[in-house]
Amino acid sequence: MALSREDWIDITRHLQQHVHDADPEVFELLARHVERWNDPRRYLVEYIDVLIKVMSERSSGSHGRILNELNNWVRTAEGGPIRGIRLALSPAEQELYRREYVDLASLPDRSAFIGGLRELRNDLMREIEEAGDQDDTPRG
Amino acid sequence: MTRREVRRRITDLFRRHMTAPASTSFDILPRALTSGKVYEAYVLALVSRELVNSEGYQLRLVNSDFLPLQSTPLPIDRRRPRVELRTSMGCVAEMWTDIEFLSLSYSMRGLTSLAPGRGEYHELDIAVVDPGLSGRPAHDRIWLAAECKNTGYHKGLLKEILGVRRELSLLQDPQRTKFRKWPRDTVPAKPSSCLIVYSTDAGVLQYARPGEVFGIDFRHEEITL
Repeated sequence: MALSREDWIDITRHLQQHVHDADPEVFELLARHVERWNDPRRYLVEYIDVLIKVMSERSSGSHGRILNELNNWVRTAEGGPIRGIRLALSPAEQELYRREYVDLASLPDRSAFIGGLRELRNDLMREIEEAGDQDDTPRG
Repeated sequence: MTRREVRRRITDLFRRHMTAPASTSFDILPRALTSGKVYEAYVLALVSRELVNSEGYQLRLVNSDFLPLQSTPLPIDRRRPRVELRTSMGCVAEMWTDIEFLSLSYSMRGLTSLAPGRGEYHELDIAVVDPGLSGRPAHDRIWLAAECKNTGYHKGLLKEILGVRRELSLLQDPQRTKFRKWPRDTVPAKPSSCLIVYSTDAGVLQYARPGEVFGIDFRHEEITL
């Protein structure tokens, strides 16, 4: 049986609760940037799309927030986000600390999480296509 | 799919992949070294924001996917990563971290065929310079220099930045800078480089008046992200 309107709303709330528990800052960001749709199915798909985008480019922790801020303004030559902030050590420091550089902040590897979100999104899209269109206009 | 199945998939995804990150890898390093550099990265983000929002540049990190900071300053090495300032004309300037520049006094001595002495080049935490340079850039190739002080600000640091100002430029009537409005459109200096001091200490503003004369901007900025 196809998911009902209430099911879609409940699933969206469930996802939002997990996002809030994992990272309240991301939760707030999504609340501001995800477009509101009358159709709860479209809203959930849009929410997952934006979550994928944010998680693809986001680090965690206090140093990670600086990396996130940099990624708002600077892109790499390939057009992607900066993956980390590295402090290159002098030869004497390299000898002392036995490393060439220190990662001050880095993007955690979220590829498995993002892959899982993409699979979920695609399955939900199939569900929508099979059920047919409802009211899919964005809310003013 | 049922509601329960979708909910379970979501819960599994977060349980498996969104646990707390591992602790940072620099715990054994002196805190002064890393906190000073984190502040430098923060200031770089602030400068980047203004270069994009106020000046309209596109910023591109080249030669690496990692933002580079140096524990000790170095001449420009073009194998190192840098941030390009780009317009529709292509790369018009480059932003480097932790570089040394050749002083005005070195240039004025007119003996540039000789290697500079230790007092003839100085460090800049963040510098925007002409594109394509190698080694220590001359004082007149610098568009913008930013000093980052993650410490209490005191008179010794004021004297230091006044010295940097002198070795970048001579005092002059206001000259057009390379920028439309940020950090300023004119500066009382020739060559017309902009010079900014960022400090976490609110007391830095008590030292700002000489900067009004010599073209040094003092900014109190704490890490607020």
